[in-house]
Amino acid sequence: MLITSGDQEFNQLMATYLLEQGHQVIVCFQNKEASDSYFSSIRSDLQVTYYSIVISDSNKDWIECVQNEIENTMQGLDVLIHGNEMMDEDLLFEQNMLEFGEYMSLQFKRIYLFSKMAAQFMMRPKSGKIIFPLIYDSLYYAGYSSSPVLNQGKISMMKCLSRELAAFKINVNAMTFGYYDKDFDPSEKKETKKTVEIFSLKPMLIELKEMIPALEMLINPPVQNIGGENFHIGAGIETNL
Amino acid sequence: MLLKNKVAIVTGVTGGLGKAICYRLAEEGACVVGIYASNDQAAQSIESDFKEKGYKGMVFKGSITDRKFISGMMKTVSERCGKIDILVNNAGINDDQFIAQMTNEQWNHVYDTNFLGTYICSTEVLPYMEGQNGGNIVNMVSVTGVLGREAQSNYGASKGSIMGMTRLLARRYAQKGLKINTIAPGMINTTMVNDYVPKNKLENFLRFTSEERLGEPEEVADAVLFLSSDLCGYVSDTVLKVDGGFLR
Repeated sequence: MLITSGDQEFNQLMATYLLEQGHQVIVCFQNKEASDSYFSSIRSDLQVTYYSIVISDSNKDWIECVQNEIENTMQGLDVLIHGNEMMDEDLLFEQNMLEFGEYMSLQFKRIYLFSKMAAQFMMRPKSGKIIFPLIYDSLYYAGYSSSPVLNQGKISMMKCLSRELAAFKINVNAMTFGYYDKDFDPSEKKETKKTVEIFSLKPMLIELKEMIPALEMLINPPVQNIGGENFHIGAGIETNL
Repeated sequence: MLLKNKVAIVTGVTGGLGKAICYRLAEEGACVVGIYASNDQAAQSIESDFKEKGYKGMVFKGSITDRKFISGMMKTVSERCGKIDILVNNAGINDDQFIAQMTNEQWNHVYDTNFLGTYICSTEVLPYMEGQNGGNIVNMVSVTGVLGREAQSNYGASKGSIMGMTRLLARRYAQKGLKINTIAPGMINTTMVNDYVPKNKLENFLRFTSEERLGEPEEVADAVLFLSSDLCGYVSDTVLKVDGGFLR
């Protein structure tokens, strides 16, 4: 399994969960310190099946490095998880409107290269899963950071990829995680619960890591032909165009 | 007239949809500024036809991904016309390929022309619209962005990103009087469809379309007119599908 954007804690939580389930996991980082810090945080018995790679935009052949690492360590790829960038696009836009567009273009170039590489690995054995974990965009109004450009671009791309890769028995899906407890203190939690009642009465604010096992629906689906879907985790949430 | 004394900028004006949009806005009284990349003959034809019909307008040649050109063009339009009321981000390209065979050039060219071009035009027009406390931006996407299509991951990602950008900007600028929306055309009778969609594919698309026919560019232009006018006063961050009921 390969998880991208390993610098983000959310993606590290997914990696830990998958390691605990007995999977071999490669995590791609952009920052060596983040990579080292994550490695030292995981249990020693999980370190045996864990691999990491630090990629740099200055290395134009970085995708080949990832490809080599997969071939050398796992001899194939079963699951690609496009790690969530946890980006606050509203803030980024405000800080640097001129460069925001180019920055988004760079993000999608990476997503394209990872998807292409994964497809090439998965097409021959006719098996594989590509997963886009997303954070529910409408939480913007409840004070969460949101990524509408990344979210919507990924959903559209996921649907395109699913339509062509289903022919190779590769499932491409998204999973949108809804309202969660982001280390709120009791009063913040109470206030946030009131705000997200727009989605469901008496909403449960659990931590993101408690929602991660939902990924099993996509990694080990009950039937094999599930593709082009955006599964929502959290009562009452639904991505709107 | 719905757009009397309004100033509208339309990108990709020499293509089938762009041309129809241009004429529809002009018919309703707007002064239409057309942007085109390369087809001089088509641009001159529109310009002379506008003169004959008594429509107000002008054309500029340049790339929508060239921020310097777009910025200069917006400044010129603002100086000559006194304001900019409407921006229709219509320009777009496709270059289809399956993901495993897609080249970096195919990805970059399509994503950057479609998303980055739309982003640059939008961010360059925002200061003018913000300054006048109002304006309408209409972004053209596609049913591919909404539903997905094989061999179009570059195109789909770019169109999805435009929908996301529409949301980002609509949230930020709604309180400043800006209406920012998106139109997703289905199979429209243009060269993009007629020249690039295989006949058997097209027949199957129409089988899954309630109208059982291609849409006409003028029918999309009518939707653009709605989202460019004061008729859309309470419409914000919407994706209006103009697809004859495709896959519904």
